[in-house]
Amino acid sequence: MRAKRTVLKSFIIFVFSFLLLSCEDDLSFAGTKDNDMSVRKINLSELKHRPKAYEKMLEYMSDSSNKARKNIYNGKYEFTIDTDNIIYIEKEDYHSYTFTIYSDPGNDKGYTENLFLHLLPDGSYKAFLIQYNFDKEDLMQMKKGNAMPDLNVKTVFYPLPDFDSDSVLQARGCLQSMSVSCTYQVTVDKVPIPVEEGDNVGCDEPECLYDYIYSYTLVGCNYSSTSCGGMEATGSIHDMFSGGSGGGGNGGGGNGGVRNGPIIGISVSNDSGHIRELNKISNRVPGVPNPLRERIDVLASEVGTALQEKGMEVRRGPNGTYVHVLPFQSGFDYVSFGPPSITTVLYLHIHHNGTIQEEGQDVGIEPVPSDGDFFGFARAYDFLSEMDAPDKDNFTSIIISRNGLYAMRVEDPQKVIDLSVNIPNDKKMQEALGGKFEENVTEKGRIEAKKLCNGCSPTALKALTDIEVEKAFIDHIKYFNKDFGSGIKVFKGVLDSGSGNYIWTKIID
Amino acid sequence: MKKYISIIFLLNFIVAASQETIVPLEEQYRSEGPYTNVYFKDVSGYLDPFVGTWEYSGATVYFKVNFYKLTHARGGFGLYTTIFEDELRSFILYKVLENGTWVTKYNTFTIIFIGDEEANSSSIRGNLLGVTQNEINLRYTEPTTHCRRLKTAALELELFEENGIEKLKWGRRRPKNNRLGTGFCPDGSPLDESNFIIPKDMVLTKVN
Repeated sequence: MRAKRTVLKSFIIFVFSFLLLSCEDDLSFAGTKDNDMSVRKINLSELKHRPKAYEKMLEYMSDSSNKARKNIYNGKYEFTIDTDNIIYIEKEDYHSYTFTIYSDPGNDKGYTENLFLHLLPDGSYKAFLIQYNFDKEDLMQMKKGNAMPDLNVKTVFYPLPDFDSDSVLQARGCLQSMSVSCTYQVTVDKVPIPVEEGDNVGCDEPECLYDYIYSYTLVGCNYSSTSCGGMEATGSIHDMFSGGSGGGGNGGGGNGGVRNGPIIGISVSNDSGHIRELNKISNRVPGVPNPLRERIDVLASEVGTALQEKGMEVRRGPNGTYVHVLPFQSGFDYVSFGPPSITTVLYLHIHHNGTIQEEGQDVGIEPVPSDGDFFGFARAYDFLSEMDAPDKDNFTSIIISRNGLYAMRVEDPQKVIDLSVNIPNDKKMQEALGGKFEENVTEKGRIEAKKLCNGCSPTALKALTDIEVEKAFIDHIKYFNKDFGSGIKVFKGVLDSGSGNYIWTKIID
Repeated sequence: MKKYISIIFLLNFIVAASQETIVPLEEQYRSEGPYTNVYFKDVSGYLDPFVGTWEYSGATVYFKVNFYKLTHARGGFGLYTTIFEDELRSFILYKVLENGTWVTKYNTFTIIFIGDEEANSSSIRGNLLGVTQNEINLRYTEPTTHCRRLKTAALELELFEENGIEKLKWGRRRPKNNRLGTGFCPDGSPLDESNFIIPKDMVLTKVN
């Protein structure tokens, strides 16, 4: 009886684990109804103090020279284990570790994966690869805290008998796969935010702040597995955790009443997710029109000739169509979009090549996003958030210049909103951010180019300046993001002459 | 005794953990970091030759600037930063002869700054080293009370000697009107895009 309880307890924690990390790197949770369960994030340093689990994780690596690194990378299979945000869950004498796995950009598999280490009675660990086939709508629903009744349908477990790279590859292929079908009851509890968290002191209804805890009550589970040899097996969850490979179990280990409830913050904000979205915007599939790419092409054709900034705000229309709205104000070196609508998905604008004379001096536009572009992006996102626009977390701003495309995407929603709120009201911050941008990007890029030029032609100096300004831009925004924190990730798209599509890479976290 | 040794170790650890990384000024803001708790220090004294009072006196214009070096100034991105820098700051006096009378356009010598207020109000500041050791690139922000006027430019300064006298070539370059948020003030008035007030090109002489 005790053994059965332990198994069920383990599974509950197991389920809880994958719910947590299905949310990529942007998870958040307010707590659990199960007071005996401890859930927290640990990092690689802490994991190293738990030798068995650490060694188990290291088996996943093909290159032993990487063992000191954070976010351990498996070059052979082109993915990275996130070791900064390991979810450690403990209940009584059981615990587990769950890791997010990131695919390399360009090698996106179209689904989310977690690595899960499950404690066995002998103190060793059994490893699983868990695959979640969530689409964007699923992620948005989970981010809103909505239950996913078909969660089990979209989840596949790959038990890894010998947890090394080869077994992972084999498991992914066909050697062994397992699907688990569970039934849950989902309830929602309205829970006041603890007083020590701030604004809830002495409040009266309806002003009090509440979190909504979504609780998943496990009713029962069955599994079925398939091997390459064609063997099929079904059984209860007990068999799986016992290490057996199936074979005629009875199914249905019920344990109603035990509750665990994460609030899940979902984001498609891993790099491959961002790049997948950018590809949708900028790239063509043969035979399929892409109205967003057509708009990019129109603006890109004017980069060399325009003498003022041009742009458009693109909104989602009915039946997969898009409409665009022109900026309400624009000039030589600026473009101002009006407040976005609830269907706004994209800002596009150009940084043209032209120069003007001001006081007899040539004044031009740098071919990289400006400080104002960051503020404009933050402001638009703030508006979209206030409206709870359905595409707000997929909002993109693209700057088109002679260097190619630069795209801004939301990495940390709260930081983006903070930037939007603080900047207009803080002139000192405006000066610090705006002025520092000019110094660190425009001026530094020019100086570095002059040093490298060493008497080269004006054309060569201009080309060098574009390169050095981009380097300085990346330097500056990295400091800006890490010291101050914009919550904005930046990607660069370069047109590939062969495919006619843009190749996107992340340039700034 | 063990207790004291432990405390000393603990203190050492705390001090070490809170120490900032010193990076030479010429290596500032490189993408390899460190990104926080960093001090871009003028270890080679590149800023020192620019320190002092410089003057331009023309028939209708008088300009005086005093550069001083502020060490371990809060740099980076405003008040919330953990980045510190050595940099030049300034006081300016600018007068113009109008109808036979000298009219003071700017006088920041009389402004008393307190703490971080100064860091954000100094109209000329910076530490961007130029192509040669005689050149420096500073940032000029023209003082204004207009809600939408945040007019800035790069100042290219170059030291040279003329007949044994120290001179400073002054060039205000790449003017820019910063626009943040919408293009209008709360009262509905548009951007103030009028020209800079201080001269674009001058040769200053060191007076002390």
